[in-house]
Amino acid sequence: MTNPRYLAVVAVLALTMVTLRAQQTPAAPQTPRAAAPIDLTGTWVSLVTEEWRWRMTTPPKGDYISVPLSDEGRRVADSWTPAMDGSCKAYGAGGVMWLPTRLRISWDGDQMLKVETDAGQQTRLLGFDETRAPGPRSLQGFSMAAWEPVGGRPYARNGTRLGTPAANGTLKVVTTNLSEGWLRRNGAPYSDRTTVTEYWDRVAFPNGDDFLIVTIVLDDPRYLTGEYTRSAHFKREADASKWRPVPCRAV
Amino acid sequence: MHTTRLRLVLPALAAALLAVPMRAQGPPAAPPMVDLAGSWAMANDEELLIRVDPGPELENYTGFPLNAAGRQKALTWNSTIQAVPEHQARPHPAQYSMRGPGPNFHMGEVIDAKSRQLVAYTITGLFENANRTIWLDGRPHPSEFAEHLWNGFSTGVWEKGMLKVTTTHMKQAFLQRNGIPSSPYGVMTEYFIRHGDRLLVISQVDDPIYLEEPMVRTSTFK
Repeated sequence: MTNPRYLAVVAVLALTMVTLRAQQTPAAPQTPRAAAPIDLTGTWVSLVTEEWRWRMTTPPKGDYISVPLSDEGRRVADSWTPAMDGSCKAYGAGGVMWLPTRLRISWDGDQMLKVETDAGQQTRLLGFDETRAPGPRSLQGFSMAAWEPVGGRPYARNGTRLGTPAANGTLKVVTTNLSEGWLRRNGAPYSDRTTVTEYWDRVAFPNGDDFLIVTIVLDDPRYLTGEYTRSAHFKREADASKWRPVPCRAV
Repeated sequence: MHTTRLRLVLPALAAALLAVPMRAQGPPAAPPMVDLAGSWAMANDEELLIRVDPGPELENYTGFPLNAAGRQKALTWNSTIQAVPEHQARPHPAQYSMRGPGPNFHMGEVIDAKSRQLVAYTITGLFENANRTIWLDGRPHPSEFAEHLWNGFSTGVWEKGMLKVTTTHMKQAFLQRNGIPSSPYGVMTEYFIRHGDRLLVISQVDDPIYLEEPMVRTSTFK
């Protein structure tokens, strides 16, 4: 007859194999929503601690200091008149994140982040689905989103990696298919050939404040002489009680 | 003969298979680290009129959450102080240096001679050599009675690939070059976040003496 000890060993062996197979079975691909490494949803308010006078007020005509406008860009900027103030052109994807605004961020299905602004009442759709059609040019354009690891090269010395590679932690958004808009409310322009690349990060400070930081890099071969880089920061609010939608004007 | 061999082989095989997941777990994983070493140039198209020359206007405190004491202190500032000899070579303090003109700086590694581990990053090239060291080896901050320096005392920990830096022991100095004050009791928390060839630095200065709420600024480098 079979030895009971032999049977026990075979049982342990079978159990181990089953466990190992279960570990090796590939998990079903997660949706971007399920795979989100950071929670961006909620209400955020921009903290205007930088460029206050260019963001909180409409700068005078011709004040485009810090903006690397080309000659063509200056020509267009100089055609602005104060009567155009409040135009929706200031609330396009290339400019709206730099304006004082609240953001209300939510998931629209499993493949799309919806970003609403109370300033100018705009809606940006950050889609993860690469098969989407871009549609016609618009103020908010066509935004492709992807979760990315924080950082560049993994830390290594003499070819040996130290530490584990960083997991996904940043949202990268590339926006194209834009219609012409403004970088400032005084008409400093970006053209419909603009690409906006953004990195969305979230950090927590020791006093309990949660911040969303959006690094914004604009490339516009027509109205800019080089990259235009800014970083806007937003503080999380407990609820949407301070949400005050103000529409922009179609000029 | 055959059964005997099986009795020897099967337990060994079972032990080996059981060992596989245990080996896969291995020693505790080191935290995610990102290579921050290298030269970084300011790539920030924000308020150049204020950050570079001519610098901020007198009494322009827009964007700063100054309390009454902070405003009173700021209003006593006189730009002629910069002509006084002992102020002419005054470094930019840690609370301000990453937001000053430029900066273009180099982040270097400090490698422990024995363990060959990264124990600190240095930041060199800051104004008037108020260069910084960010200790990563878990050392504590000095006593509250220890000397305060232009660069303060900084320690860092990795958080999901971001370097979180805490700086204390900074001198009484300024948050902007038009006299917006910062006290020696402030604590600065920074995150260094790398996106490919870009570096984002977020700083929060929590100053109980001169600010109503912490001051947060973000700067980008390339």
